[in-house]
Amino acid sequence: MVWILFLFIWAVFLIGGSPESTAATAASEQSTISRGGTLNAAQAAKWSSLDPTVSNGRANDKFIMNQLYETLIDVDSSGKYIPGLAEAWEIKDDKTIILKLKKNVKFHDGTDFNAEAVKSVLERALNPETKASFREEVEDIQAIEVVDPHTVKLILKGPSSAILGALANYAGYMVSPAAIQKYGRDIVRNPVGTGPFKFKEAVEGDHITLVRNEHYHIMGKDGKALPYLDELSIKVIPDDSVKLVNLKSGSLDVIDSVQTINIKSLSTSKDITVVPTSASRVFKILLNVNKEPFSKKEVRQAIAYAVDREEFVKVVANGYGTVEPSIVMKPQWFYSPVAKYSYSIQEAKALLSKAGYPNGFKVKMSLIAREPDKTIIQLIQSQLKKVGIDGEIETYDRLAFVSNWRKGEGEIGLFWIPVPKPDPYMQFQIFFGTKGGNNIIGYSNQKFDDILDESKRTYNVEKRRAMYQELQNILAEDCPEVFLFHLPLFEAHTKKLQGFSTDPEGGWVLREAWMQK
Amino acid sequence: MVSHITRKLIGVIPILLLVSIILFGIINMLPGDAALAVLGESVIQEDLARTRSELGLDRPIYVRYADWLGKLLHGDLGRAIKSHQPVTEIIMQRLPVTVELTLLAILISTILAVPAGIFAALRRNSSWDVVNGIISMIGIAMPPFWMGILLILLFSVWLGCLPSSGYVSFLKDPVKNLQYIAMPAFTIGFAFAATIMRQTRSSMLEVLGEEYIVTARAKGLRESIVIWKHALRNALIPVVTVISMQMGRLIGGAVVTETVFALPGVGREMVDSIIARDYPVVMALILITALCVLLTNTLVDIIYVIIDPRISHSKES
Repeated sequence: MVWILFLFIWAVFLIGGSPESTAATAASEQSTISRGGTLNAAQAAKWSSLDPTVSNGRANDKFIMNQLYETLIDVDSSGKYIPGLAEAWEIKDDKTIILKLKKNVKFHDGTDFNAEAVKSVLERALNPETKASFREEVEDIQAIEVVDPHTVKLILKGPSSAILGALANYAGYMVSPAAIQKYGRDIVRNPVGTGPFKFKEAVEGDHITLVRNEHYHIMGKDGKALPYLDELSIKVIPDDSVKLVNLKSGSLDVIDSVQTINIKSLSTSKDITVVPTSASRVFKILLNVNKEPFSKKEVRQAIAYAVDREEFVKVVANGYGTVEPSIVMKPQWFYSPVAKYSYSIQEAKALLSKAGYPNGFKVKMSLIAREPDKTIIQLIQSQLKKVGIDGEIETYDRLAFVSNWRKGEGEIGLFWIPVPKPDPYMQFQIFFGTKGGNNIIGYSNQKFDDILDESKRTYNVEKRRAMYQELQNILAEDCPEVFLFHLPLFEAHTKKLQGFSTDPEGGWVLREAWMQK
Repeated sequence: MVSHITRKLIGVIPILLLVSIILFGIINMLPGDAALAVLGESVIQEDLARTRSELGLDRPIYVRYADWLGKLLHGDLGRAIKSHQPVTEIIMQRLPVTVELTLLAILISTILAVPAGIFAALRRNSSWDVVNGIISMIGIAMPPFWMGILLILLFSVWLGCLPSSGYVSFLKDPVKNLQYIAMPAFTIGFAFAATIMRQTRSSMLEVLGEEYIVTARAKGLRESIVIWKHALRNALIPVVTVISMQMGRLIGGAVVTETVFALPGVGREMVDSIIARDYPVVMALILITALCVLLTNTLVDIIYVIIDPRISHSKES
């Protein structure tokens, strides 16, 4: 029986939390916590579902999910795995994981959280009929056994190092099986979890109101049960300037995704704190690897040389972004520096000639109608023109853009994705694995797939690190996508809000939040 | 009169049918479908295919349209594909907000614009007329989005007297409701008022030059009677027409204004549903909007008769 502490280490996929949030926590310890009150929050995107099992807007839905539900395994602000609804876990052998569950935890509907509930929730997720968005992450689970009311045994098909990451993310959110039974498909509008807040009412796509779960199982610093807040209202406000003006007027207490252009003016405000999260957006150029001329590696590499990444960071990121030709963020434990592709028109032209396009070619450049994408694509268009690639810009709404690319109709596209993902395996698999759900460019490389699969079959951190570094090298060489830069995600809140923190993906954690009176 | 209204109302049905056919066609021509919106971008191909067939999206478009229409005729608007919420429930949640916003905007704009337009016409080329002209130009030129933000900055951030976003139902708390709706209604109303003001002014000027006004004055009628009874009544016909024709624009303005003030109205839901290709919701909301516009036109026909009884005589004869 080996308690695998090293899993804690590889779980540290980000180093350090945000200085502001640490400062806020320190301040909250010094002052007296005051209970009660309503927190008014706003998020930019509409939530996709209130049932985590079928949620497909994973980064966006976390703002609500984190308040209604809890995961079996929790992640602290530094990215380390800590007990959640499971107070301990053990990898008994390559094919067995044992979870010891917390006692005296109840769902919002009064039913008990126990081993039966875990079995029921995970079996529902594994059922293809449910179409859980994270099914790939847990597909290695062969069976779930109830050992006793507070012990669950997961029997795996083989070693799977991605499982714990999944249980610390969407697959680990526990929904009341009684509620699933009661509401059927309508569970998406009637969420019942074990989280610090419970559902009161919602107008789809407009706002959701949550109230304090008076039977919550974690105690606050004042010796009484958390959370400190009585009510939580989360509005959907897509426009950045509207969100900001509401934060300034005091109608909102916390907002997500602050655009970098607004950070300076907000930072000077005496009432508002800007919080950098540990999440980032990776901006990248999609290339249709199955279509001429992008089926030629030299053409893809030429584009990687022809883009001046410094210019993007200067124009778009307002000094907050970093040039990074990789899908992996520097603080992630499996990061490997990719030295290739510094800006060089000569190199790009030479590669284009080698590929048989000395005079360049005409191409369609598609993007989603939003900022900063519109600005970036214009920069790309003018930069590629210098090597003879003549781009015609086509703007789509998000669904049309993704649908076209899935059909293989894209040529050059601009896209960004939120990182980190719960586990490095996922971070590579969903975008570049042959069967990856987000692999809309049609990339397929057998060697890449083999190493990726092997990385999931070992628990050894060093071996995994080497494999992921190898994958980064393959991506740099193959160049199916041209990575441009990373833009950290910022959030902002009123200084009255204390005890606010975020999870590694930037989702709010509000169970210890309270408002200074 | 009654038969005229009945004829009008019956005429609404083929228009709605045509709107629904065109709309259904357009939604289905857009790339991407509801199955992708439901399952998300990271969905694997087999799940996408399965959901498509579960939702019936793999059937030919005319079969889907017939199915939708058949259910509609039985009073069943269906459920939203993504949230599984009954469409009727969505309408009940959203429609009152937009109706209140629109009516209040019309009220504000009429109260502001009609008297302003009359005085501008009476004091033609005076400084009052010039100022009026400038304000109305600003109203026409200023996008509602910017106007909304400026109002929030003034009343919420600097003066702190009105809430900047949100909504409470009128039945729940009338005072709060008016506080929430005042700025959005003014935002739409201001732009609308500019158009009405200019129409009232030019229409008044035209009528004031008519011979019957000269006759009325020659008869020795008091100026107030000449203006309010003889001139205004005739000048109002084109104004009422403009108001009714602008209904569509008002609803368009509501989409933007609802976004700025985070109001849970029809406009925002419509945009969200189009983005998600949630056709049962889009169809229902646009048809209801079309119905509102058509009914307003019928209502305007009735108002014409009240303002100018000659209209009904001529039609019925």
